[in-house]
Amino acid sequence: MKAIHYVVVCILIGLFFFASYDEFQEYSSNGQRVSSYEHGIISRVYIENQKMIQVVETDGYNKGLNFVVTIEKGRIVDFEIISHQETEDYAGYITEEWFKERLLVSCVESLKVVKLSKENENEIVAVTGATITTDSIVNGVNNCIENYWRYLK
Amino acid sequence: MKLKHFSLILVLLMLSMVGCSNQETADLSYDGNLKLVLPDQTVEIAYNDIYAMTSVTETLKSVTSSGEEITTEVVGISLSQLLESYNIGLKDLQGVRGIAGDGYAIDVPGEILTDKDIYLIWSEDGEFYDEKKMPLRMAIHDERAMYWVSNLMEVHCLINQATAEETSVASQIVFLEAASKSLDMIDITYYEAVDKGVSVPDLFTLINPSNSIKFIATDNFEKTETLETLNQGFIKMTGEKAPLFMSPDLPKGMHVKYILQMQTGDTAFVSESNALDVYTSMTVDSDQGISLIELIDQAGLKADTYTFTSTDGYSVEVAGRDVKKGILVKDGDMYKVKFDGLPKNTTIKDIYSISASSSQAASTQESSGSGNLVLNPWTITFTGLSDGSFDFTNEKAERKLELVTLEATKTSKDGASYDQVWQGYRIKDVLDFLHVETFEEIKVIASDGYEMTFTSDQVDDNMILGVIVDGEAISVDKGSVQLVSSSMTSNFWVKYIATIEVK
Repeated sequence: MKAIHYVVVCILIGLFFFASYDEFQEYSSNGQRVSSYEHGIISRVYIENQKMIQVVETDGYNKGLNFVVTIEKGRIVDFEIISHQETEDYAGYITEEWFKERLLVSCVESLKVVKLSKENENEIVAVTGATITTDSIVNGVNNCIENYWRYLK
Repeated sequence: MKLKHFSLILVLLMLSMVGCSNQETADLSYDGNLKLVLPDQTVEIAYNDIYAMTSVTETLKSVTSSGEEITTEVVGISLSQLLESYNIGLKDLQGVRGIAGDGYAIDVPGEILTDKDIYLIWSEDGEFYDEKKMPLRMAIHDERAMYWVSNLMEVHCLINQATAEETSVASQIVFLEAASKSLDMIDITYYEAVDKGVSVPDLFTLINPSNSIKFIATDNFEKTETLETLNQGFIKMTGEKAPLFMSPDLPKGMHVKYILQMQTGDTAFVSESNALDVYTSMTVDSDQGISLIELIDQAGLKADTYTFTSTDGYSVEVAGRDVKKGILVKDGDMYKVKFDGLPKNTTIKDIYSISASSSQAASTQESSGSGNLVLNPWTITFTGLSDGSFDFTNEKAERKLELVTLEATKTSKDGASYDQVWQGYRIKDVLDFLHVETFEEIKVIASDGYEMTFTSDQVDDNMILGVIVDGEAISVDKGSVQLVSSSMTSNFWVKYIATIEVK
């Protein structure tokens, strides 16, 4: 076998491992991936005990807004930004703890973006100056909520 | 197919994918026209025609609201060059308004245009804009990012015709904190905090707003907005950056933080809390506050007497000269005004407003040359000041000092005496304005060389620079201004004043 054949074999082996590598597995190290629930902007779904962990790949004001949503017992229990390209000065606040806590609510109803102050549990106040980014996140979370209830049926 | 061919195809495929991701090969094109509103016409220029114009490449810096500086290499066209083809000079404009596709609008003030160009750019650091920022962005070197309007749809050239309303003189001050207490306060979520505020339409029910509102912030940032824009928003009265004009429906760049003053119509809203941080500190008795006259002066009020009103409706009228001895001071969670040397009943707790008394406003109008009376211009050079000399003009006097009335007796050369009513500016007030704290004497020198010296004791409240006598402006042939004192006979009075030497 010639040297070039070794190279090609190596490339193919590399491609195989690359294809089987799950870059989001770290968000659910013990979870079971449920590909049948992955659709649209939801690129990964894992079930871990009673938690559903979902990775959302969407766009905010700029392209490339990725985050992970964990739902357990009808409540959002965790939210984490994986990566974003938003302008720090406007939407950089989405990585702040207080914004995360704003999203940790019951998901009996889908969430709704409000502008000034919340009156109901399912209302999420937009980050000042970053309404589009907040809209994208809430839309992604609502997709996750819908997926969660569909899975439980 | 041999394995060699397969690997070759694989490599070619990978190369082609890399090639597709290079945006620099993309053709720049955008359907539609930029609307350019000129003083005498409106033109529309196809974006594709703009892209085809002779472009410039510049390295520009923008400054974000948090102070971060971002330097980029931009490609675009110069607005000043574009306007030249319409015989319009960018420097001659009062401002330039950029309007984005989402309605965001901002005015670039004339001060910026005097030494900076505006660029209409389509590329930053070698990258064309994505759909949201296309087709153009407005860019100005070393200016705040709020002027860098993306998705630029319209450019308006502003000329001086709209300034009359903006420069209208306020006749009352309403304190923002006091006024907001009389309105329904609403919750405003501002980042992690939930603060309190009032809606602008609610606030404006207290006054009679005009179509433009001028903001002045504590850092001297000035901005004029339309009533329509203001009515979409709120004034956040508590928490960070308060008072803050904001609206969830307006881009963050249009918010105005740390409002010191907000003028519309005949009213200047003034933030008491921010005024305390900005104006000159003064102490009356044991209370430390800020100079009331400075606050009033900055708000543009000018009168011989002012009416101070508290939130419970109690009011007192105080003469302008006494207001100079007044302070605004924090009093628990309220603010009060008090005056040095005046009775206690002139102290106003929980101050709500200050207004120029209407009867006096008439005399102020008179002094500014409206009505039938036209005052003649004059300049007096003050020398011997701690920082050299100063040319004191009629304009400065009209803007900074109160016009007072004085009855004095004139004795003519034949010995006949007759009473006159003079109006003018107290010498003591002028010296105060020039920061002269102590002096032994002043020498008043006329343009014909005539001199008269007065000791500090003689310079009392009855000595004025008279500009009006018996309702008539002092004529140019009499020097436009005279030194007059009712404490001394008229042979001490001085015409044609050229210089006043302070010793």
